[in-house]
Amino acid sequence: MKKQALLALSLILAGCGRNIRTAEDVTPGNAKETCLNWKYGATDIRIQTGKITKELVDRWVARTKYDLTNGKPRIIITHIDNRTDMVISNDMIRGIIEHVAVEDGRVAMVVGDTKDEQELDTWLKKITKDPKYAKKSRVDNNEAQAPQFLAKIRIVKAMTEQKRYDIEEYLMTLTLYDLETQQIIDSATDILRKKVQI
Amino acid sequence: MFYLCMLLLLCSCSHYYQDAAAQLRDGCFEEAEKKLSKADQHYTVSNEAALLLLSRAMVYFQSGQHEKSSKEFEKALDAIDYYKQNSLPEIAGQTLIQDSIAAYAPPPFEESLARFYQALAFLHLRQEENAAATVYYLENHSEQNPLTSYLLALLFERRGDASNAQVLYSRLQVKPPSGNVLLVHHRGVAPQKKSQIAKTSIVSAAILETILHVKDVKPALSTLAGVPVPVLCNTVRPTYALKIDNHYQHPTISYDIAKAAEAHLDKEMPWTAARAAARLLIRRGLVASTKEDYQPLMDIAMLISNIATQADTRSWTMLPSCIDFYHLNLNPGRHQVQVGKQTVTITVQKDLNVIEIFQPSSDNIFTQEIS
Repeated sequence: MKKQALLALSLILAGCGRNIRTAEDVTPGNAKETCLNWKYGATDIRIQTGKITKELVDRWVARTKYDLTNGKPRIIITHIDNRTDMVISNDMIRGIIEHVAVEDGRVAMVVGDTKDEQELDTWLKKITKDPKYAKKSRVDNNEAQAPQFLAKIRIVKAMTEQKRYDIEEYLMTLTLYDLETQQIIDSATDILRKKVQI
Repeated sequence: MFYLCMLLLLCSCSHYYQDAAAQLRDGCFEEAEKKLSKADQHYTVSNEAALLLLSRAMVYFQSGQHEKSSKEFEKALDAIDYYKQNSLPEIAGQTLIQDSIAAYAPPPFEESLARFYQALAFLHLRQEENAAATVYYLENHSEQNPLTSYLLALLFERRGDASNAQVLYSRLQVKPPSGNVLLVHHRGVAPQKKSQIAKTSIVSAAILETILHVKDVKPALSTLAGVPVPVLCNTVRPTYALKIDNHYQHPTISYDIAKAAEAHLDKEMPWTAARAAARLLIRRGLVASTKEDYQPLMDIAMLISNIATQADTRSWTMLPSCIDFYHLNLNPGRHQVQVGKQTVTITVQKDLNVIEIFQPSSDNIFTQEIS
């Protein structure tokens, strides 16, 4: 009896070890019970970028009636503005965004990593010499060249503390700018809601 | 017998991270890195993973390998997050055997310093947003220190978030600064812990034995060994006097790590003492519950155990004793920085410059400047 009690106690104690912290995707509409890393990382960025890209391209194609056989529109992301408290590797985000664009198949994405006007100027200079693409974001009728846009990504975080977990919301916004005027053309936002164990 | 062997094995474990810290202070970066090769394992494998990773991240940081350093700090922070969770089997092991049987969970002040160093590494890599993110995390989740708050305020200001920067500056009671140079002076060596028998525990044990004797319980010698507790040994800290181009400078903000370590030890002491007392009483109970003929033998065994039991003396030994943070406005070009009797030359560029001065002792100084 004593031995059995000791064995039971040791089993209970062994079960009280540590676990690597995880989070659950509780975003309405997303796949249920997806286990995520508690930190904002690659999987989250992939989910959000995929949704945003689809939304923006769908909307743009519907509005402009652009024929994709003329060439893929190109989005040049000049700045990723991370306003969260999570470290995000620039190389990782660049890889994910470019991969998402390849998966979507209707758009090409290029990611720059500086934010100053100097870089924008460099891009503009480069672009004007590039014969493959149009010099502007708008497409005229019967023009057989693909348009391109400047874009910025901003990620912000909101947190609600609960007793046993935190609800963390990551809001990703992708804003498209006109290449010539740098005025906003369109913007899409996605919210990822994570239930993070404390 | 198994119990005794385990105890002796624990006591014989060499503290390789302390050797690595000594090598780091002498500037032997490669040797220090080799000593910490165990950090290659996944952090769930080793109980001292957090300590190993923090130590290796610091070796990379001081040797100027900032890319590696920022990644190693990230791993260390994951390990800290993992080992922060309480584990009942470990608490039981600490009560029965000794405190250092448990995994090393760095105290909050060490976590905030890990984030401070990671932010500095990101600044060296020109990743200001990641630098801001790592110190911003402390605002929501953990203990901040003046250095992390100041750095966050500065980074908020640089990205045009003046209102939040102002909130942090007013919390620190400093005026919003202007300057192109961040000079971080890492002074001295953080106090090391050592195991010491609490004298009061010997007196208490003697009183306990007297009471037990009155109640016709045979006295035991093992109890009189007392209980070990960790104490801090302060080291001599080099003076803070720092001259730039022959002008004395006062730090914009300072953080006394020795004081923070002392405060943490004081806070933890009731729990440490309670666990040690419980351990002593359990061992005393074992002696009392043994058959009378074997009691002297058990008493000797427990005496050896009590003498061999050490307090948990692990800490991030590579930290300095104090960090002085200077936010200066210097013209681009070369400048002379005089620290104590030694002088180093720094080169300042137009944009934000981060310059590190490491001074483990008065006569040992080395710098790192990335601009």
